[in-house]
Amino acid sequence: LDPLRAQQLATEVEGEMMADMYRRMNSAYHWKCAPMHYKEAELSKGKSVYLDCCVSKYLDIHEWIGKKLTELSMQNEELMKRMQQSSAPV
Amino acid sequence: MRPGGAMEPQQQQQQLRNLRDFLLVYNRMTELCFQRCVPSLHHRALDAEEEACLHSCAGKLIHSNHRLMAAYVQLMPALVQRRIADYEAASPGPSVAAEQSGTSPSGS
Repeated sequence: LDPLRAQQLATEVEGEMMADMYRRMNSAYHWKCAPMHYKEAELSKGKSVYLDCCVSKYLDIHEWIGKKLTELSMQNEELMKRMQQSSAPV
Repeated sequence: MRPGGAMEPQQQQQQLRNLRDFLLVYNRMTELCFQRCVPSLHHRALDAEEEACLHSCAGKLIHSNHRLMAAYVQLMPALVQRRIADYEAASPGPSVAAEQSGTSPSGS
């Protein structure tokens, strides 16, 4: 498996996970944000704004958690390096 | 030394699996914390209360994930051993046949 192919596969995995994120956001909108009663087919102005807020908040949370996880993984890496350095023979 | 320092295919597959698992956990965390921390959608930006809740939510999920993994790694081997033992006890065929073929020449 050469590096280019590995990169391609990694990109595919990321794309798949983006689609998964979209599905979850969709599901969250329908279960949490969308009004339950269906009076008409059209989306009113109020409901559109509500939908925009829902999506915007979901994506903000997604970004926020991404940063948090990156921070944590970097902290973990540094910790591992320090442990390796301290346990390495002098 | 491999040209270009390429990793073994197995290692690469493992890395891909890890990436996939990590991103899945990431998506699940987003979904959970959104459901639990966002009570109202009147404003577009996240306010201070929601941010504090997100902080706790993310931290708690990460810590519980770590602990879950530790418990799993601790308990799973014993479970697998028990399963193997049960399976061997239930189907003794090859070992019994080996015993019989071992005892018959000495008995004649």
